[in-house]
Amino acid sequence: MRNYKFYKYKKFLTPYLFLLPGLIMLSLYFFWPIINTFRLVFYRYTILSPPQFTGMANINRLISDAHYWNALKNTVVYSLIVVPSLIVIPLIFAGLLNQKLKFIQLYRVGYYLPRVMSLVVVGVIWKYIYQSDGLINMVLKILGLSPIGWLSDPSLALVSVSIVTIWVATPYYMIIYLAGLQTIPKTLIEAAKIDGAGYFQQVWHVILPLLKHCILTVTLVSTVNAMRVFGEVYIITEGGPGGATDVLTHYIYRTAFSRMQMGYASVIAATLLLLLLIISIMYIKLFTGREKRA
Amino acid sequence: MRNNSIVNNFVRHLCLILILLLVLMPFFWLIATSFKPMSERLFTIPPRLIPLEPTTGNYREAFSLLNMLRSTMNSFIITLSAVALNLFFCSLTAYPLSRMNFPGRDIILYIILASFMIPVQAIIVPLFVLIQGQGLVDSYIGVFLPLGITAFGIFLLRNAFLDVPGDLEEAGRVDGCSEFKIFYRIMLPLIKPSLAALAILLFVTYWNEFLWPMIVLRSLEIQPLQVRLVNLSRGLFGADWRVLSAAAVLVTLPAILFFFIFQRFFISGMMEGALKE
Repeated sequence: MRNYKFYKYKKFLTPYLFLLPGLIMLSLYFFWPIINTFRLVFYRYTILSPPQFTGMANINRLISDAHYWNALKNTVVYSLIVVPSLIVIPLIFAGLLNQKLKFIQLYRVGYYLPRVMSLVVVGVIWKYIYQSDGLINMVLKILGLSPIGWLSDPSLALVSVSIVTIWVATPYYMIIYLAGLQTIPKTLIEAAKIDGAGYFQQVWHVILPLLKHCILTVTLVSTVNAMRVFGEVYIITEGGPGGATDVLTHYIYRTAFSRMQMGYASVIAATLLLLLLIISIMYIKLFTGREKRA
Repeated sequence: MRNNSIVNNFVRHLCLILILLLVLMPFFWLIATSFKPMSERLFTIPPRLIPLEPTTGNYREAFSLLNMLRSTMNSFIITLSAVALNLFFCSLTAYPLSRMNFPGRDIILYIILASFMIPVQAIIVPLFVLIQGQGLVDSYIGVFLPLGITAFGIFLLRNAFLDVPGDLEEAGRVDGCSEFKIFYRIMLPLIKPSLAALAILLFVTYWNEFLWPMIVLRSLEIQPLQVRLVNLSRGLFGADWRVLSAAAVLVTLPAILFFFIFQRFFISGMMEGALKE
């Protein structure tokens, strides 16, 4: 009898024992930092001396900090450029790569290549190409156009950074679309053809509605990724010229690791976390809704 | 009819190749520059893709500036450790979440799902404070330990476990295997392809990571390739595009080789992951 009880007890505990190591890791390096971000909001902390409670001082400073609002504005504008582009361009590429052709696998590998490079390398490449006498302006000159200050013109620099993101991120979303496209039964498209639907009618009335979930996933994932952009900005522009490409993560980095203001950096990070949490709640709603239907 | 389809196929291939060349042009331009000698001007009209007198001098210079052997070793130590930790922690966590019924399972699942969306950039300040408190600043372990588990990995492996037929672990139980033995001896071998896919995807991710190692590692001797490239691009050689291009090629080469060897896993593995999500 005792043996049986022990067995039941062990059976009850088993799943939690499996979960324990992973949950410790997640708590330590994930959940605790998130909580600590919101705690540090109320402290002045320079790493050199212990945190000092300052109440609402950081928050008050944030509200009147023009650099913060500029970084937030830039993050939003950047997202508004990048997200729609990453919904459309990878879909077109996925369509191109979904054809039945010889060597199509080879093309897929080629189109995926930008994704394999690190953001440091990508940043170096594009910084070079964007130079005032760089590759793009050379091509413009040959076409008889006047050169453009890709990185020096404050009204253009953020667009230039966005182009880099679109270049490096397209392969990722392309694969998501490609996976979606391959689930569409050929018979559906054949049926549409027999009903006399042209190519664009097929795309609009058959393919796009079936890709609805893919498009939603791409929208949310690309939004979250846009909110957290760092590498492109850090390597190519360092937030310049004159703060024109300063984004939230870059401002957090500068505040925390150049000026050593950990507390103030945490306020900025907390606003970013809140934005991300809202988006991820939307994602969970979408995800669970889908699982129930499936 | 047959002729028509040959023309049709030719046009399709031509389109795909032209767009591909355009997409990869920045990369070709980087390689071209890396082989150009000091005597050749970079900014010419028209731009020259094939160097007049190709040289490997830039590579020799980049090789020593990056302290290539040492920093490659550092990259491997950090990347492989982080990948190994992920395989361990993610499989242990994913297994009960997919194969067992217990109170609190769905809540744990949703919490992990929510953490999908929180990037290291957003928690980098408290994470650094934590590592500092643990005395792990400027050490390999301080870099790879916090990278040792990912929500993405948990979900990829959970999907893999969900696909395993149910009667297999029953057979193990009848034979008197302990739960851990069932996991280790029966289940893990069955999801080997997914473990491989996860390892490969994470390898490239961690190989390319630079923000976190840049913050944790101060000493040049233990910095990985990406951080050395950042330093190079911000230092004296920041405008020496020939050396910088060569360095960028050297830093990317291992990831690209890795990608070509395992490309099947990347495309089809990622597509399967996307389907099940």
